[in-house]
Formats: sequence, C-alpha cells, structure tokens
Amino acid sequence: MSVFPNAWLVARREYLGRVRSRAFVISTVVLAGVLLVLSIAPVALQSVQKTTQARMAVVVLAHDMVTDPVADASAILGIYAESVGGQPPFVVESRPSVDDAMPDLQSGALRALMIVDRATDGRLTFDVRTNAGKAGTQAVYLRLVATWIATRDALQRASDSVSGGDVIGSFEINALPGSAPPTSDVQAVGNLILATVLVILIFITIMAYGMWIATSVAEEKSSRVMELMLSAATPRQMLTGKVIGVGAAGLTQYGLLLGAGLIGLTIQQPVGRLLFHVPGDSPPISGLTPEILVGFGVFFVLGFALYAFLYAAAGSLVSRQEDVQQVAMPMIGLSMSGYILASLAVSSIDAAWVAPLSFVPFFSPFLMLVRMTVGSATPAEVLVSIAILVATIVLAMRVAARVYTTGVLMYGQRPGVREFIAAARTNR
Amino acid sequence: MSLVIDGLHKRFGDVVALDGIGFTVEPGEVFGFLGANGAGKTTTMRIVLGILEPDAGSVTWHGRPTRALPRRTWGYLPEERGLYSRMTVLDQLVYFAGLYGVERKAAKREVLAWLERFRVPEFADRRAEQLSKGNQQKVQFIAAILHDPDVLIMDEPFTGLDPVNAALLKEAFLEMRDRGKTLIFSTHQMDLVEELAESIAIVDRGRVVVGGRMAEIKRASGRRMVRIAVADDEDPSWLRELPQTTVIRSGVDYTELELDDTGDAQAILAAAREHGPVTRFELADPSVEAIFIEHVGRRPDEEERHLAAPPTDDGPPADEAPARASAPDGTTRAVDPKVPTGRAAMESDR
Repeated sequence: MSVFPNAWLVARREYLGRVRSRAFVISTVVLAGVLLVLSIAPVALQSVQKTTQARMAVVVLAHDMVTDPVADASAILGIYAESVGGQPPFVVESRPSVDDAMPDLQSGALRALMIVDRATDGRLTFDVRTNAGKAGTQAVYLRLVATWIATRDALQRASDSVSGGDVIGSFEINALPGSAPPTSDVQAVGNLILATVLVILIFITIMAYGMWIATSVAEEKSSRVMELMLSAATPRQMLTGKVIGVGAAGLTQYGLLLGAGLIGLTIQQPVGRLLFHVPGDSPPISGLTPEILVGFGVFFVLGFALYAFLYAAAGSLVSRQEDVQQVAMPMIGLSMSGYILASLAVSSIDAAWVAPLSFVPFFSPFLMLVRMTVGSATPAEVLVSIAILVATIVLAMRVAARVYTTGVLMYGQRPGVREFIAAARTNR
Repeated sequence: MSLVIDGLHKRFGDVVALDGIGFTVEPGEVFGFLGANGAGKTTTMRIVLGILEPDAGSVTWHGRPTRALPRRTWGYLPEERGLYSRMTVLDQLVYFAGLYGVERKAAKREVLAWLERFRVPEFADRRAEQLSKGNQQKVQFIAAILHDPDVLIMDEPFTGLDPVNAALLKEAFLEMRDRGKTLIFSTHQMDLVEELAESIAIVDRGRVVVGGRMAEIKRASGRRMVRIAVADDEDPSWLRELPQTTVIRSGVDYTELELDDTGDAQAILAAAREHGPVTRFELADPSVEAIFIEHVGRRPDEEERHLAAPPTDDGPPADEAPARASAPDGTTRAVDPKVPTGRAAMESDR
C-alpha cells in the first residue's frame, strides 16, 4: 500500500493540531517578540550612548583663520570613531565667545571648551578648559583635535594650492593581482559566533520538536485512539505523516521566529535613524554566505528527520506520556554529544578528530556545519556527509517503522532493535 | 464466498494467544464471537484486520487473503476506546473517513446524518473530551462505519453503554445488517448474543470449542430446558428436590431447569401447581450461557473463579488450571503452566 495519501492526511492533522494549539501560538508570539526586541536592542543601546555623548565647544579668537576649526575637529573625531567602530568622543560646536560658553561648561552641559588663538610667531595656541580632569583618554582626544586644527591651519598658510578640501592631493590603493584581504580578527570571531548559533539552532530544534513527536505518539497510545488509527492506516503511514506534520509545524514556528529576527535586523538601522538618530551602515550578519545558508537548511532538515524518526519509535514504546522523557534518553544523549562535539570543534577546528567525526550521521548535522562555517570543508566532503546522512535516514525510517509497529500495539512481534525495546521495557 | 478464518496460531513470547482458531462467517450474517477475557478474541480480530500477522493460518474474504484486500473492506470498533480529545467530533470523523479514502464532503454529510440518527447533532462541533464515555462510543461506532465497509468487526460494542444508548446502538447495528453488511461482534453479554447473533463461535484458550449456527448448536446439544415461574412462591427450593432435573439458573423472575434423558416436563408442571399459580412454563433449548458453561467450564463473565473453584467434572482441577498472565496487548490470557513463563511474569510486573 502506498504511504502517501494517508501520510499526508496524518501530517495535515498533526500540523494543524499543532499550529492551532494555544501553546504553539503563545510560545511563537512570545519568542518572536523577544527576538524582535533583541535584534533592535543594539541600536537602542547606541542611542543611549549617543544621548550621553559629550559635547565640546570651540571659541576662535584668531580672526585670521581661513580653515574652520569646528569642521576640522568634527572631521578628525569622526575618522577616529570610524577606525574604532564607535561614536565620536565629542560632538563639536562653535561658540562666539568664552563668556557665552562658560556657564554651560560650569553646569556640565559642555565637557570641554577649546579657545583657539594665534601667538606672535604665527602658530596657533590652544587653551582648553574642561570639567573632567586633565588626564585620561579625553585629554588625548583633545590633543588630537588641536594637532589637526593646527596642521590644517599651517598647511593653509604655507600654500595656496591646498586651500580648502583635503590636504592629500590624491590617494589610491593598488592591490596586486590575486591578492585577497586577510580575514580580520573581527570576521573570524563573527564566524565562530555564527557557527555556534547555527549549531545551537539545530540542537534546540531536534530536542524540542523531536520531543513533540515522541509525545504525540505516546499520547495516541495512552488515549487509545491508536486502536482506531491502526485499522485505518499502516504504521508506516502514521510514522511518516507524523514526522512530516510535526516537522512542518516546527519549521513553521522556526520560520516565524527567524522571520521576526530578520525583520528586526533589517529594520534595525532605519529604526535607529528614525527613533534614535543613530547612524550606521554595517551589515547585520556578516559571514552568512549563501553556501552556509543552504548548507544549514539541508543539515537542519536532514538532521531533524533522522532524529524525528527515532523519537517517533521511542514514543511508541511507552504507554504513558510521563515516560517519554526516559525512553527518549538515547536520542537526547546522541544529539547532545553532537552539540558538545560541535562546540568543541568551533574552538579547535583543526583537531584530528573533527574531520572524521563530521561524517558520522548523528553528528554531521552539527560538525559538518561547523566545518563549513569556520573550517574548510570542501564541497565534496559536504556532499559525502549529506549522502551518508540520507542513507542513514532511510535506514532509521525502516528501523523506526518496525519498532513502531511493535510498539504501538505493545505486541511481542520481534522488533529489529530488541535491546532498545528490552531496555525500554525494563525501565517501565 | 465468506469470511474463512483457518487454523490461526499466534504466540506472544511464551504466551500462546491463538492455538489453531478457525471458523467461517457467512456474508450478511450477524456473528457472535464469545469467550472469556484472554480467550483470543481481540487477537483474532486484529489478525482479520491485518493489524497483526499470524504465526500460522490464514484469513480469506470471498476467497482473497485479507492482506490483499483494501483496508476499507473492514470497519473496526476496538475494545479499547479512544478519540483525539482536543479535536471536534466532526473533524476527527472526517479525518478517519479520509484515511479510508472517503472524500471530505461526502464524509461530512455522512457524519452529520449519523449524528442526527443518534439524536446528537449538536456534537459535531464539540471536542471529544467534552463528551461522556457513552457518547464517545457512539462517535467511535460512526468512525467504524463511515466508509461503508463490507464487514463490521466490533469488540465488545455494548460494554459501558446505558440502556438508552445501547438501544440506539442496537438499532444502528441492525440497520447495518439490513444493508447487507456482515457483522462480527464479541461480547460477554449473553442476552445480546441471544437477541442478535445468527451464528456464534465460542473460544477458549485460543481455540474454538463450539461454533456454527445458533439454532443448530442448541439443537445439537440435545439438552432440554424448562423455564418456570410460580406466583407468590418465595422459596423455590423445592425445585432442587425434583427428580431427574438440575437447576441451571435460579432467578427472581424465573428458574431454569435442565431435564435428564428421562426427565418429565409435565411432572414438573404438576409439582409447580401445588406451590401456587404457574405464571410461566416454557420448554426451551439451552441458553447460549448454558452452552458456554458446558464447553468452557465457567460463565463468560467469570475469568478468575475457575482458579479457586473445586475440581469439577467439566472443568480442570484447580491445581492444573492455567496460570494467568498479562499479555502484551493489555488483556489477560491463559498460560500453559508447562511452558516457561518468564516473559509473561515480566509483563505482569508492569
């Protein structure tokens, strides 16, 4: 008898039952909300930083200056901020006189006041008054600002040819053919974080939705509706339908959460500009290449399928839902091992054990993904591990169908994995 | 051209569930399948349905093995009742019908018609968990027949029903018979067998001990029964002292006596008249219950008593009576004490 018409029906019921349940809706909404907030949080934090950003004023007493000290100060602080990836240490503003600026300096609204004058030898003098002490990084910034203003002024005075604009006549970088930029430390760390996040996502999915499947099977047994089902559908149809249905419900929830996260990341900068006036243009997720995204999708689905069949078989062995956890221990152990191995591999990707273990089906969804992200798995290696994984899924499906057939009836037909069942029985 | 169950054997570990069970059900017949708990009724039904594989033996319907038949040939009302508790009645009945290949629209129409028939149209949108046991049972009955099966197999269909629901179900049951369906049902309730079954098979320890058309079985037993009731006779113990008779059943409504070969029914009537006005006097075939007791050695609703009962001529001595163990399907069944029962003991420890 063909598996499909009935497996689809089972999957449909399972799917709709799940996604319409209150628990599903609530957990999805709550988690999506949390993700949305988390993904917008960085710009909100930036805005908090901005509101506490220090202000400094410049009063120009040297009336013969052609350059604009305020613009020069802002420019050099901006370049500095860009080089360290943060906010400029000061917002610079112009004031007409010292008397005008002093009250704000005393009240703390201004952090520093820089009075620019010209000495008799033609050089600029900088009289800086601050309410934040003489030492510290702030003094360095102020020194930097003064140096740049003076440099611009000196150059202006030395040559008419560089009046206004940039002091640099021209600037270009010539890269040798075939040369590539080195992976920066920042990017490497980004990849490590990305690998860790992807592995955690797969692990959580297998744990949570695998348990859904096992519980759902046990529920049908304990409610005895299984008896009615058995005369209508074959165990293989029920098993396949369940894995597809719960898997689809899991993917739906996962997709919604991912969507919320991505929406958050996409609107992060517009929201930042609109609400908090935070500039920013760095891509939200670096290192997430299309290859890794596809690889993640494939390992996510295949890894889930492999574990899901085994969870379903495990669920068929117990008669009470309370016992599901216990009978699911082998799967929990296996997936946890995969997760731990992958976590170790993230930090020691070149260890000798990583490559061989990344082909082992129960671990490959975790380990090969890590190798793809932070290591150097070749496309051939990835394809081989996927092939092994698919073959194992087919095998797992057969074993699961046998265990399930026996398990759901609680009949003594010899199962393929007797030890598994024997262990499950003695534990009951 | 009938349902032929031939020489089924089935063991669960060391537990022998079926020991060569075999009988024939004619198309369009109502067939009573009788036996104590653990006699092998449910296992036989599951093998007929193709849920279980027999170790040996075969089941054919119109000459074709059951495995080759579409599942929708059969309708099944399992003994262990259960529904999806959080699904509405309509949704799950349409779902079950869909598994048998019934179109959604047609299934919905049928469901609503049956709920109407059972006088519970308002159940359609209720969740199963909101229904009483008896009402859930009606829903399950509908689940078993929605796809219009040729053969309806029902495991203890009347158990746990109140008289009103039992009457409704009986009505539906007879309607299925009138539609030409073949009905097989197991029960402990002998009055229902008398009322509904045209043929029966009585099973004990995985074997058919007697089977065939009800009338023939009764006639073939060669036993003669007298049912008698005397008005205002508060102490009918005198009946026990009558010669050539045995009291089979002693009830408030009437007493049933079995006559020996030489017993004289008219002498009993005469004796009764001396105790008061006779309100009932009937010469009858033996009841199914009497036949059951004759062949199985105990009443159909007794499953434990034979262990403690003193040795009798037709039952095995108590010390030879089989130990009982829980089989993996949750029912209890007899175990041959000569066979090691390690597994059975393990099962019963659960």
